[in-house]
Amino acid sequence: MPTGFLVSLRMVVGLFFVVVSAEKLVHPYQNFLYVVQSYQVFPPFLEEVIARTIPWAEFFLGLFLVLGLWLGVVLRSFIILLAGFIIIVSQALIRQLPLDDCGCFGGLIKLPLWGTGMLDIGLLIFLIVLVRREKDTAAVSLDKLLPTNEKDQ
Amino acid sequence: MRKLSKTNLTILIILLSVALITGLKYFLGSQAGSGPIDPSTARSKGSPQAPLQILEFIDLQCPACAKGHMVLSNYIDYYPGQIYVKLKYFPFASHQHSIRATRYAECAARQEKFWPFVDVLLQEQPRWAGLINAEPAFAQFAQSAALDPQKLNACLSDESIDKIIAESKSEGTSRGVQSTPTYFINNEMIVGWRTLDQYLTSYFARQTSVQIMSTEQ
Repeated sequence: MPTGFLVSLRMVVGLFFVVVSAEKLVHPYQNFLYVVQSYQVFPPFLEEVIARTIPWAEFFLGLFLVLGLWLGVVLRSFIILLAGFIIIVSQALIRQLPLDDCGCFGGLIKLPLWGTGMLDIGLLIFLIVLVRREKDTAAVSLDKLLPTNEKDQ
Repeated sequence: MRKLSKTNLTILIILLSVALITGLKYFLGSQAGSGPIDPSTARSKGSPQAPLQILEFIDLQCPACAKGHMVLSNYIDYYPGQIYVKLKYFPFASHQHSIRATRYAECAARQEKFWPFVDVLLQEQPRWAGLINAEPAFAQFAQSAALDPQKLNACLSDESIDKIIAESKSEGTSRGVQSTPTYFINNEMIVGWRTLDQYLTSYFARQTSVQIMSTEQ
């Protein structure tokens, strides 16, 4: 796979997460809380924590992916995050939870539950490819331009 | 001049991003519960002086809204005079019969039978939501709510209802509503019937504790 394609893929995936998470962040967090609650997995306290923190995590991870900053950590964090999303969506599908009603995913993307699962799997595959070709993925990145600490300057 | 390190740049990017998102959020006005309520598009129930003022945005074909309506009705019955509800429409295009159900509800309101009609509509929702043609069901509910058929038929083709529905939905959107049911309880945004139930349970439990403590003193 050409390096240019991997860099572009990295930026597209990153931009996707930036846009989707920004949409959640500029709207009241209660909307995303409702989405989290709909999966009926977590206790109320944890639902609240997740609703307030996950959009920020997605946003910064996405932004750093676009910029090519801390790529090693970011790519692996995304893989863990997406694996978690896939597990949660899968259990909702198995339990046949009514998650396609009422604009539950009101926002930029409206997908049935199986569609969400497929999208998450697709993104996970992309990220695994990017991790396996990490050096080429980081070809155009801030990681290459900047020193990690002062002694490298 | 020292070069910017990766760590410092990371911190700078985080701070700028937080500032940008926060600024964008306030600029777009997506503050939950803000602004005056347009009274012309609300249907209300209860005492206006009640301590709990609830603004409810629902889609009449939404199952969670039907459940939320039942939950709210139970609390209203159990705690009379404590809750004032204003209902506004937030129909979704993905729900085939939602707009039509809303038209019927608004026409019932014009005959001052809004709540009896909506109660039946939501109670019987599982029966009509999956139908290809729900018109006979709506007509039957209208009959059971004792609506005047002539006035109803004249009203159903009234174009001003489209404006009411549009304004109601626009107000909901401006308040940050994305899903239904969404409630604003004393301006605090609550989404979903489960959170509503938890909120009201907690609220009335606190009220009961306060009353017991006052009695003991």
